[in-house]
Amino acid sequence: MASDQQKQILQYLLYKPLVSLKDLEKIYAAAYERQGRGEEIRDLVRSLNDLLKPAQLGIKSRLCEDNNEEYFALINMIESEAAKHTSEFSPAEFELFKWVLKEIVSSESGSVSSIDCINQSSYIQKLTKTDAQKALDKFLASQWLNEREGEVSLTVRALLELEPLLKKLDEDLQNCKICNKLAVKKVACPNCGAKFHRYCISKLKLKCPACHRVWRSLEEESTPSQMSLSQTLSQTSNPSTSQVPNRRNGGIRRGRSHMESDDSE
Amino acid sequence: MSRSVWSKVFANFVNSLRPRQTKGNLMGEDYMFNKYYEIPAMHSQGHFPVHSFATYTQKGSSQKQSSQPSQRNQSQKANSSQFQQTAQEIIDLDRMVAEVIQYFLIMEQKKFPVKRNDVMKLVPGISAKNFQTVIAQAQTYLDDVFGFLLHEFDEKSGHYVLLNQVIMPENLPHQDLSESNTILFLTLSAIFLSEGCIGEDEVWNMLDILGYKPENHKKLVTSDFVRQLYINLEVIPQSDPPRMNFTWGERATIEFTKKEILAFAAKIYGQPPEQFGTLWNLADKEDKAREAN
Repeated sequence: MASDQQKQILQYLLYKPLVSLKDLEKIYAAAYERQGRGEEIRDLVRSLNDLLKPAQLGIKSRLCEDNNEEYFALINMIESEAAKHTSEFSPAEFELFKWVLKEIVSSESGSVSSIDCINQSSYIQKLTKTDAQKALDKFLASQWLNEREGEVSLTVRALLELEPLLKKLDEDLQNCKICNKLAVKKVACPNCGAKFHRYCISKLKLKCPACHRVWRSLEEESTPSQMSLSQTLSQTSNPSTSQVPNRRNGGIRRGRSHMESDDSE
Repeated sequence: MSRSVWSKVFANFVNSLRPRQTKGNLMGEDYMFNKYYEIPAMHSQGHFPVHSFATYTQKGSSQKQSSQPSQRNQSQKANSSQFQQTAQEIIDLDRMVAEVIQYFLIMEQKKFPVKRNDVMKLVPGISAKNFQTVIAQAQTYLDDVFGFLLHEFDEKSGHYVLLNQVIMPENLPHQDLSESNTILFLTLSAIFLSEGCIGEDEVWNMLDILGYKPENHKKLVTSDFVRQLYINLEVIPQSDPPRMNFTWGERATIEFTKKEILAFAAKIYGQPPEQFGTLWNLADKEDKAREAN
């Protein structure tokens, strides 16, 4: 049996399923009429999850890929038949949505330009450009997608609830090896190709945990042949993020000595 | 089976020499390579599934204890054992109730009523036999956890809506106070002020004056609001070209009180609601009748 405050919070979450940690603190304050202490927010989420379990719903959280803040989303834990048939989108809108998802997961940057989304309407029947714009607005309003500076990307809600669908759309999609959560906006180690989130690898001071190679800077993306070019670029643009001296050998040696020092610990 | 400890020890030893008697799912191994199996729930020996909706209803169920999660038991195929049948049925029932709950919640967001036939079609495993049980459990859950009252309109054809019983604090919004809501209230006010029935042209005029172009909103009013049971349309007989009348729909009657609508209209006219004479009396009477129920 939920308390009145819990009912109020659940009603709010039905209306806005994706909230940031700060939002959740504000919601707590609005319902309980006082600020919640740290653990109380976590306890609230836990008790709500207990209440939601029989309905196969749940509140999950993860860090946002853009700003590394924690977000909570009320998501469906099963693929219910009923939910499949009563989508809030029309079939044409849903086709556009699937196309956007596919483009996002196959891209390196984890985003697609909003203009491309709207132009895609020419390939979808019964969808004019105005319809496509309206559909995009719908996706943004229902918190499936984010838009920033013309680039459309996935919200935490989409990452949590649509994970099985995303993995189906692109088989190369992996989890970040550091935090073990799905990585759509990813950077790859130039040495071994393992994928990570920018924040995750920055926290490890740009040292790849798989091959122990220290990266020059976050701008490094793909093959070693591009490294000398990115080297000069990174020096001019991000001197603060490069952790190692210029010379390639020096970098590797530093990397090795890191490894040695780790072993000795 | 004897209850003494030593006879159990001996029985275990003998069973370990025999091939495995109970079928179970291999869950994993520990460091010593001991294999662990999940065995089926046996009610006679105190294994009960958890999170059964039966614990939500007051009547009948003895299942208050919990040991193993019901989710994993789903993988068990029913033996001929009577107890396992019951466990499996309960799990299937729980799953059906969960799907019904989710369906109601989704439809409520769109404010569309849920038809019994749709529920029968979309929820796997539901039948005429278990329909009432499933609905009853869903109803209890929706009230206990979300504060929604499941309201059934029509005994025969059966459609349902969810009514929100929760009073939300001021700074916690829970629905879009958007354009469509405003237009809905305006339309309902217009109908009420015309004593329950108004011609469509007057409604279009009113909306136009207030800045809502009829061409943009015709579909909303004639199609969406009707589907959501907020208003009813009837064609005026022998009218050429055919014109329609609007009346209050069933959903509007249960979701809004006449007083609320009158208060809204009063704000627009700039008059306190009490000055609306007969209409105020009507609204007042209806409220008293409601409270008596």
